[in-house]
Amino acid sequence: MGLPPTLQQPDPADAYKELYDSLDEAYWHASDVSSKDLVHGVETEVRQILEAIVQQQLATNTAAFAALGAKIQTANDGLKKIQANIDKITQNIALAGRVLGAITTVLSLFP
Amino acid sequence: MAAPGRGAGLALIAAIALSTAGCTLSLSPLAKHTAAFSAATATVVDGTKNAYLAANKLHSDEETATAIDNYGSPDWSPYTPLKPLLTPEQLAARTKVLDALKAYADGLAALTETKDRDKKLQNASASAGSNLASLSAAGAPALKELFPGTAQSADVSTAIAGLSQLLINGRAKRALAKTTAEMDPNIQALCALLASDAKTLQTAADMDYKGPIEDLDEFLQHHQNADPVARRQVVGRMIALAQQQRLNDAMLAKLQLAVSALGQAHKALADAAAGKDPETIKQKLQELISLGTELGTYYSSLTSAAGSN
Repeated sequence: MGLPPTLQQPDPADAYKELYDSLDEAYWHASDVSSKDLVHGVETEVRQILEAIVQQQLATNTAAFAALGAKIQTANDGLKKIQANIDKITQNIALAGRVLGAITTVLSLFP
Repeated sequence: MAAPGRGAGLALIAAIALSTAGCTLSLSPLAKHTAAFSAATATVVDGTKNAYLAANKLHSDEETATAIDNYGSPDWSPYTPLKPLLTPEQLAARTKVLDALKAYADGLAALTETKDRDKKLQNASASAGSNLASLSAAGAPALKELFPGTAQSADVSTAIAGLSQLLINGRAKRALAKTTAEMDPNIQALCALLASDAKTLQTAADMDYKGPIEDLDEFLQHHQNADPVARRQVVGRMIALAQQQRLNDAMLAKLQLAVSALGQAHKALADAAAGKDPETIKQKLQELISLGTELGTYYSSLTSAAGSN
């Protein structure tokens, strides 16, 4: 059983995003320029951290995408083989028809 | 001894084969579901690709705006490279997996697509049946007993087509069930990853909108005596950006729902292929198609808006 939600480690991206959103809200509620400047400055710092987290997440996901892409490609190759096997049944029937036609022609030469 | 009933027997085999193919191994409902899954997957894949491109462009615009704001600061240079949200390699990795997903869905649809295959099979069977009957008429002793006359050519063709169809549909159905069951954990993992990526794009886009909006406000706060017309233009720009942000945010939330619906539809397809819960697939496909269509409409409107600018 895992830890209760309140004791679980928060996701850094979610935590910083929440802080960023709170600062943004504080910016628009600030009533004077100096307060706005102060909040804007802190928000810029938080934003840089959040951008680094975003870049890290995108990089991590890239590796996972590559691994999954390889598995899907393998399945696609398998599907092509199955398709080819199924097509082969029709081709074999067509071939059998041609062979029978050729035999009939030969037999007709010797009535 | 001649067996006059053999021709009729062949017709009976053909009838049984076709009726069996029609009842137990029919691909008709599955073919419809895989075709719908393939079409809906293509829409979601296109929407996801467009979301990546839109997020990258938005970030690039924001980086440019920041560089303009920083003009005059030490080390400023127009040659300083702008940092993309997704590097070309990162974008390529995502495009590649999305293309593979699309090809996978198309492959499933091709497996159960019977129209072209049945036509080819009918042609091949007609040729084989006709030649087999001709061979019998031409004097092959063993065949003469089996096919008393050329009149049975159509019956023979029907029997060959029916039995072959039975064999092919059986193989296709088993392959569909096996492939979708084996691939389902990977498709679920991919959909979860795409949803996580979409959430990350949402965070990035949120910053890429909020940053410039606040920068514009900061500019106004520090230039209280600026030309009123210029001020109105800046305020108008802020409002337009905020509207775009809301729309983009809603679409990225929808993208997360769409990739989640894609995973659920695949699971339902795997279940339907295995003969379990055939009703759920209809509902899941409907949800997927609806979300895919909304994404498609939004991103094509962005493309046409960009084209008209």
